[in-house]
Amino acid sequence: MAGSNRLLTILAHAILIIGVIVVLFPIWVAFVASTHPGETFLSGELSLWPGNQMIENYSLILGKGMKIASAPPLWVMLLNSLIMAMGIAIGKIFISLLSAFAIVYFNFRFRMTAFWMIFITLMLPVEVRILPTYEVTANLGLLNSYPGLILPLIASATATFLFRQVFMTIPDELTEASRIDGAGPIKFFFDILMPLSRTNIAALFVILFIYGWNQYLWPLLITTEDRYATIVMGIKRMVEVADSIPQWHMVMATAILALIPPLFVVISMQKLFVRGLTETEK
Amino acid sequence: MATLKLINAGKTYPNGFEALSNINLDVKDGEFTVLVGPSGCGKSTLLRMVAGLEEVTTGDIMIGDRIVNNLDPASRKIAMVFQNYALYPHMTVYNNMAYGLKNLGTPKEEIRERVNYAAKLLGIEEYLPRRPRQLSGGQRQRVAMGRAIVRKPDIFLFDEPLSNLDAKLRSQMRIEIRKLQRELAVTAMYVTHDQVEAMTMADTIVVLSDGHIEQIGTPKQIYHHPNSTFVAEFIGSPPMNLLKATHTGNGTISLPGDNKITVDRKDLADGELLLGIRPEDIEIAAKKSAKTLGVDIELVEELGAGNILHTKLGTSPIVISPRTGFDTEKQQLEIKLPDAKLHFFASGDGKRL
Ligand SMILES: Nc1ncnc2c1ncn2[C@@H]1O[C@H](COP(=O)(O)OP(=O)(O)OP(=O)(O)O)[C@@H](O)[C@H]1O
Ligand SMILES: [Mg+2]
Repeated sequence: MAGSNRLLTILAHAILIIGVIVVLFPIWVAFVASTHPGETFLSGELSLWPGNQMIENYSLILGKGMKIASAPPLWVMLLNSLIMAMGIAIGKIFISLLSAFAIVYFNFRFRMTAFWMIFITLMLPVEVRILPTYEVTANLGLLNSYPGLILPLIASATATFLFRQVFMTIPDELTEASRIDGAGPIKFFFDILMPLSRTNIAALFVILFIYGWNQYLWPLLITTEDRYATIVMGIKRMVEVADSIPQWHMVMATAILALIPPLFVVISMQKLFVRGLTETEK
Repeated sequence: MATLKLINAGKTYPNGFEALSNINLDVKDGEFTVLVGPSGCGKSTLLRMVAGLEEVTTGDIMIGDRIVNNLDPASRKIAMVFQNYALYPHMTVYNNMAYGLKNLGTPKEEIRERVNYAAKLLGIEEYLPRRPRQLSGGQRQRVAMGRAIVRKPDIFLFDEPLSNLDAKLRSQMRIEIRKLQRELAVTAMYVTHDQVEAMTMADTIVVLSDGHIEQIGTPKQIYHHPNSTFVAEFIGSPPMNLLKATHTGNGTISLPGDNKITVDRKDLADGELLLGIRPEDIEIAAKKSAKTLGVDIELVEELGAGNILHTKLGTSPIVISPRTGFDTEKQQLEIKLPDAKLHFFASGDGKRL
């Protein structure tokens, strides 16, 4: 028994390690490429060890950007992405917390109708409703603005649904105890519901931040000015420069930098994130 | 500290189910009232109506001299202890107890004083910085009590607060709750389906059945003078024996197995009735006589301190818990039913005769 168990452990670890290598290797190559001069990558003889151009490449892309690709300095794009991703994540969480609160705890006419209508919009992601949404956004004069980037992506049936399920696992007695303790709806929301959904909020924040960070189509449509360009758009632009060879080392440096904020969010929220996805006890 | 009055109170749930009807109840200041009854009879509903968690659909509820029908729970000056404690899992014990006072805008200094006082009273001072998750069931129970105490309520409401505890802790908490309630002299209403709790804790027992009050009385009254077969069978363990009998006139009662006894009850009408006697009231006779009845022993349950005999009189089962020793070898036994301990009930609606 013990022997086969050990074999199983080794096998499991081997598979996991292979998986990690498969995922990490391209990232490593990207990092290596970003530290060599541009020609090295194109010569096809990229070494697997970092070169000596790291500081030059990164400071160039961060500070000045790529003129020929008409990409603004990278920090601008990073900042834009950050604002958009944060806006979407926080906005979605705020709105869906409130709507789930209303649906679960208040008895109003057409409550279930409201819930099912929200639920049905699950079938209408941004890509499906992109033309009418563009029309509305344009009419509101929100093209080339942060609200234009953020607002249309905020409504979220998924998050509303998730919070509804979370709230429904909170025992009724807790609600009643807080009523006896004199907590009105607002107090109950902030003192009891929010803290009890903390881990779920964190998990959702991670998922939504990455969702927002990775948006491509919507920012591409809605922004024409460079100062609103996001990083994901930027990478794409750099690759498709007209009449010129792509500057792969710069593209790779951009890609590496674009990885950092989501990575940071995941790592810093990892503990809560895992608990939010697995914890059932309230 | 206040009186509690229910006047023709009734509750019909939105789905049309009438959970309670015509409840009239008068609880004196400082009195400990226990609501008992089988599952689903409406005990929790009644308690929750007093708490303000369920609307009253008919009648009135008065606390002190205020009609509280339309007051929200927080302004009724009540405190409630729930069966599963309902402590806020994300707050420390201290904050759990302080939360209600904070919402009332009580000064910090006073909150601390009151919480510390309650914690001391309950012996939970060392747990104040802990979360409910880090406490045992009994400790959580105490915290829930503490949360009720700090609010200095007019009325304590308990909904089966001990049913999640083990037997030993339950009997200990039973005494503690009772002591505490006396010490604080707060009117209390306590829901349980455990008749031992009801008998030991109550000043007044209210027996509920199917949404109406079956009997109100002191534990002694309920035990010795049950108003109906329902109460007779519900209170007491093992439950009261009920035998099908016929009154043939002049106090002569014929019992199963061609047995006859004569009782001093000339007022009984002729015809069928139910004769009740508690297992511990049955006497075992040394030898057969005209006044004794012969029963066959079917099973002896050994309890250590005593026995429970399952016997048959003719075809009717009779349970006896004898106060005196008896010969365990015997298959048959002569018993005596003392006149004073007999109860008579109508065979139709089970009302006391
Ligand atoms: N929200 C509700 N809607 C409709 N019927 C209800 C509702 N709550 C309770 N009831 C019904 O009312 C009756 C009384 O319920 P209640 O909870 O008061 O019983 P109980 O005496 O406390 O029982 P238990 O000892 O099992 O706790 C039950 O038949 C129950 O099905
Ligand atoms: Mg109940």
